[in-house]
Amino acid sequence: MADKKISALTPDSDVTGADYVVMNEAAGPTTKRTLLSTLAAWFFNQINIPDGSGSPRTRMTDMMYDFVASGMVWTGDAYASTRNASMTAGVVYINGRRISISAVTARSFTASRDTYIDVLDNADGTGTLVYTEVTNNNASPSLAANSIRIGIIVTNASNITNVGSINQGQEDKVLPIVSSVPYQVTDSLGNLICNRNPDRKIIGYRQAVTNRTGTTIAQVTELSAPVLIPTARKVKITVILPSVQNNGTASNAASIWDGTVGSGTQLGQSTAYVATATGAVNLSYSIIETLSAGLHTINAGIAATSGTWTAIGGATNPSAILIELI
Amino acid sequence: MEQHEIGETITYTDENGVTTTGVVYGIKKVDNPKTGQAEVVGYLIDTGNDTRVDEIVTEGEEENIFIRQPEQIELKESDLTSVIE
Repeated sequence: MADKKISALTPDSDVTGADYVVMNEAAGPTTKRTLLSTLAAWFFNQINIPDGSGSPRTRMTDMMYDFVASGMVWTGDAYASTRNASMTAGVVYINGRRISISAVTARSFTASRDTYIDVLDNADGTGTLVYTEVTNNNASPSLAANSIRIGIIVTNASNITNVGSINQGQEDKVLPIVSSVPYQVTDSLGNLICNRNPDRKIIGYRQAVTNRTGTTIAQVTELSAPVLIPTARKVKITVILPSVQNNGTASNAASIWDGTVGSGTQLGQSTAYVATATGAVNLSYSIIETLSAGLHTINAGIAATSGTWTAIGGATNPSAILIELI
Repeated sequence: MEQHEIGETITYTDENGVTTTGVVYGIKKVDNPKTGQAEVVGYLIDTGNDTRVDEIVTEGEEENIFIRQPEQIELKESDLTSVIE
């Protein structure tokens, strides 16, 4: 074949990634070729993977939480029968990097375990589903760096009981549960479960659907929320206690604590007088705080000047504690 | 990779000779994309330290973790059929 000048070749508008681009080796003067798709991926990585201040990925990391953009919904294949579950395909963003995850079909989960499901960013555009098993109703395993937690699947000895055993951060989940405090919205370490909001505001939540009683100051059992406070961020803490009874006439007081009720740091208090025995008062209120970065456990307590207090909680009228970034 | 169970006490020595002892409280698994089987890639251990829980994660076999390998071909000058101008 006679040599031709590049400029004499017939233009080809049908460009595909399988075509080659000719270039010179940097150490030269060796000539080499590479796939056009490889060159395109190299350009993409130069823009998106490095952590330079001009990188869109760096800016996204600064501005957004890691989040699930679509899909990643887990469902038990046969509740009360098997330990199999499936997940829809989806897209997550970790460290500003878009990662597509394929569907999972009929995966068998180990018996009598809480299996935490995380997506690990492989830093090459792909992600890996990592399954971490702990015994039922135990403390949550730590979340690895460059990962997002997308769910917890609870199995008993033989099956996944029902939809309540699939926890993807919903506010009304009751499993896993430790010391009567279920993992709602966050796990026991404050990690968000299946965050779907890049501009996340709610970073902690727990609710009570059971009446709780006490006399002297005491923790409202379920209202104990572990939260991870970002650096230099203010939070708004709200206790939702719309109906707190007293069996006599007395003052009821609801308090917010950073740490153990009664011995930690009290952050605020709301007081109201029950004028009629067995009457109830609304003790809901909010405060704004600047807390140190890292893990905090925010608790709600109630005390009464006399008599017995009862914090009313039910499925349709839960009491709750809510922590938001502001 | 040595197999361990939750509740087992194990001792791990890293490449720097630092020894860590703790109770296994979690097992990390990744599904092999070729076989579909879950394979252990590491263990979480509790050293009893109130403020820190250590994690031992071993490197997975390369074929167990999907890694995209971009193709790149280098040719000798004698392979060229056209001249760059």
